[in-house]
Amino acid sequence: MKNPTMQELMEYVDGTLQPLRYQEVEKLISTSPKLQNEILLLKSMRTAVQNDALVFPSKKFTSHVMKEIIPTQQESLWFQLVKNSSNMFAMVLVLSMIGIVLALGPAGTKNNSNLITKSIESYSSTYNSVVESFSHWTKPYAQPIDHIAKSSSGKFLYLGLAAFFIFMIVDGVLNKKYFHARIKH
Amino acid sequence: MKTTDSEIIRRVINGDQRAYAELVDRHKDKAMTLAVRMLKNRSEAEEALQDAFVRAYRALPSFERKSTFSTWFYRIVFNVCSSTLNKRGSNNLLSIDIENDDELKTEIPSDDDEPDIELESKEFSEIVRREISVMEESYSSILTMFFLQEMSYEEIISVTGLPLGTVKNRLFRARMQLRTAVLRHFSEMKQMVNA
Repeated sequence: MKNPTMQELMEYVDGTLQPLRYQEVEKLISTSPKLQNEILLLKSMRTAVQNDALVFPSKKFTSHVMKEIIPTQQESLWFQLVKNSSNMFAMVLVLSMIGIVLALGPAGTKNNSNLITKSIESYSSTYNSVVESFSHWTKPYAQPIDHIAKSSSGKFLYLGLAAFFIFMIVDGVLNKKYFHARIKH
Repeated sequence: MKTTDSEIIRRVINGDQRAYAELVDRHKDKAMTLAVRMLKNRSEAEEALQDAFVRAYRALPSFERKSTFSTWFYRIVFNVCSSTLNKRGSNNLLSIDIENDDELKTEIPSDDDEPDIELESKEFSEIVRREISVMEESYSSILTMFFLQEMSYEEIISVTGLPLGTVKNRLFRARMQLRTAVLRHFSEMKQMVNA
């Protein structure tokens, strides 16, 4: 029986040696301490390679990959809401100022001497002339609108309308981003 | 029960993009080990692996399931790393070795003065680990696929595109290199003790 080569011993350890030759080599190993040592060495090398510590990528590896695949996937609706809040706050602020100015109207222009109040004064005169020019058009509707505004159900109606408009703005901002990302992908 | 790769792939193709993260988590560690063994550089390996995962995601609809996902994916990793080595100008991964059957017929060396090798010692594992880290990438990559990824010859051929003879030769040389390193180390230790 021919002595096994190194390659045959490796194949014996891997279990890829031809069945007939496998049996022959097995017999030879059982009678040769040298072959037994060689087999032990090969098996230990195999185990050492298998047990050699895996090299791990960085902790954020998966999220980095996913970010490249789905760029906006980490941006939840709340994240986008906060991200766009500066625009929203600016919008609300402007709307509030317009509201205040409209609410004060000509009443807020009494006893003025400084620059700001002068500008409000000029605004109020413009306001008065505009109101006057449209008054004959709006007169038939003014009383019922005033009545609604003063009633508690009317206040709820205005609040509801305001909430609805704010919702529309927020929803518009979010949906634009959301759908934009989906279409882009 | 653990979800199979095929089920995750189906979910991803059907629009559940986030399911791909599960596939990344499942394969990243072994693939990273292969990339490091090929490129011998951790940051380059991570970059190459990230690139490979993105490429795999984009090519997922064309994955024909003729092989397992891992074999298909390792082929992408192998190609990306190969391109990186090309840029470095040191790619010998794809060079086909001159087939030398005589080398595979090497008889067992007769070492008269065999050292006592502590096969299960930390020292032994450390020598193997160190030797793999300095081993030529064309050998260490095949060794990693065969032992760590437990790929068959056919799978390694499918990943690398190398002929069977070259794969066998490289695996043989890698093991002989490890064997020589281990024997040399323990012989030196024995001489030191005797001295």
